[in-house]
Amino acid sequence: MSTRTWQITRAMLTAGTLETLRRKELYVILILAVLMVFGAYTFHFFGVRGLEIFIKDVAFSAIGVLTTVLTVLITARQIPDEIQRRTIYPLLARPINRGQLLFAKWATATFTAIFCSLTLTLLTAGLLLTLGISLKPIFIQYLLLKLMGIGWLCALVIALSIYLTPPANLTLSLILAFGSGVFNRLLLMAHWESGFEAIWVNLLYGILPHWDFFDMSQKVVYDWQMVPWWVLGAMGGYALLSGGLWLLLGWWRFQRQVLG
Amino acid sequence: MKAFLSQSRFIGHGILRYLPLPLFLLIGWLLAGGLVRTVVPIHTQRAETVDAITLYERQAMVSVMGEFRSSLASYLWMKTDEYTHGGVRLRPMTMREKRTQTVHRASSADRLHEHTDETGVIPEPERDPRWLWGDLERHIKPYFDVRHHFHRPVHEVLPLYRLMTWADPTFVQGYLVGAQMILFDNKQNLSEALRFLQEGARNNPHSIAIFTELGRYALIYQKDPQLAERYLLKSIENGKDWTPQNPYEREGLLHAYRWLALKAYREGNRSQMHQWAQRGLERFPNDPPLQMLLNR
Repeated sequence: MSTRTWQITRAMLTAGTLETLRRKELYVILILAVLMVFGAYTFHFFGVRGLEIFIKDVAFSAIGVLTTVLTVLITARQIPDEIQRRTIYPLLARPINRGQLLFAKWATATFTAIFCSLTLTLLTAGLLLTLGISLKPIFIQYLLLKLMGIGWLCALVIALSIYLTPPANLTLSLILAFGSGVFNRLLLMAHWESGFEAIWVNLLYGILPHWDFFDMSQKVVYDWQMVPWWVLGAMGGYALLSGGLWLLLGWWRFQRQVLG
Repeated sequence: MKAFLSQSRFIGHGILRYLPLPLFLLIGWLLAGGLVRTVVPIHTQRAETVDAITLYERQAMVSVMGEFRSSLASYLWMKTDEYTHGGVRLRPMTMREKRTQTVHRASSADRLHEHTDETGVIPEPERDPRWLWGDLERHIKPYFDVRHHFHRPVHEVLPLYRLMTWADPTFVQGYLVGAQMILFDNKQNLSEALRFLQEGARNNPHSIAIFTELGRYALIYQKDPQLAERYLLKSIENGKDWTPQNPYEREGLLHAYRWLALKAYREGNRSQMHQWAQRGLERFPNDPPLQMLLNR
């Protein structure tokens, strides 16, 4: 990465993080997560013991949903906001090309979303530990996988934000993120039930988004053993390749786009 | 002085600007506390008395909440299956899968769960058309070979049965399976399992399945045929004017006839055995065990 791109990225990172804090989205999400975990814990007061798995399940489901929503929200506004506020013109008047701007915006969204997600996850994990609910070492792998996934999701959403209006982008991104597991299952069913060729299944699998593959929460909830590290390596490769492709698609359209 | 006034006004304005949030939190906190105080006594007695349920049914607000309660109970019911399998999800086999027998059929190694025509949601490597994707999914999501599998300790799911029957005291299968699980966890817990079932009977006085189950417990575990007969007769009484579509209740009615015929057989009362088998066949004409008992 050139020094210039790094400088731009750094400046935008600072501005983006401050903007997210100013909007207070993180606080709302933190309060929601704490309420959900405590809500599940209140059953102890009704005399129900042994709900550790249930509380963990609720906590990690909350983290999963809130992280997805937060990541999509943060990323989807990066470029449309600049255009709407017309701040994109002074930005592009400087010696910055559109590719650098797109990359800086992706890095800002990724950093901010990772910061929010880490805060949320570590706070929830701390809360669980305070309640006497332990987490196994697989939690570290869960965290790493989630962070990679956030980078990938940000690339997808930022690319879509170039092609779609902000509401359409939000809707489609959330459908793609939450529905990824269902689409994948449908492909498999089509193969078994209608004889859909394996080669097409694999090709479509490569194209379709796999946000659900970045979620190891169920293994954390049920205290499974750590997975082999090549799995994380492979997912890292997928995040790089697929995420890079999405950014490339975004850049391809962005450099031809007439602004204003 | 002027400067001081303007500064204090500024400070005052600043405080006022930030006041709504803590004020809102404080009001919310007090409101929540008040609601909890009102609701807790009803919730704690709800599972214990029939009156509480009657009260619930008559109140509009509770009627509205009924949908939510039954949804929550159904959600927890679904979760019990996931919990006993450590997060591994199962699904019913499709018609084609049943016909071709190409999938791994789920079966229990510890007899904790009965699996009828079920297989894993994540496919086994042998029939997974995905190359690397399949391997990745089997590592990232909870997965095991569903054939002859073991379950997680029962005590981990017991609280869920407690919760679901609190959430919806009319959730009959929660009581049936919950009592069975209490006993499965430890054979010494018979009284606890019975208490749980009796609570179900108090909350669902028109249920068929719960009284059949109480009859079965009385016959098998308590060795009290008179008590068993009373429960089984109550079950038949509850189902005399209708044949339920709910599989648990329907099976409860069928089993009530079977148990009464079997009880008569054990006591050597063949005419009564034939009578119960005959009456059962009038309701369930194609039931092989009842036909067998009739022909004995």
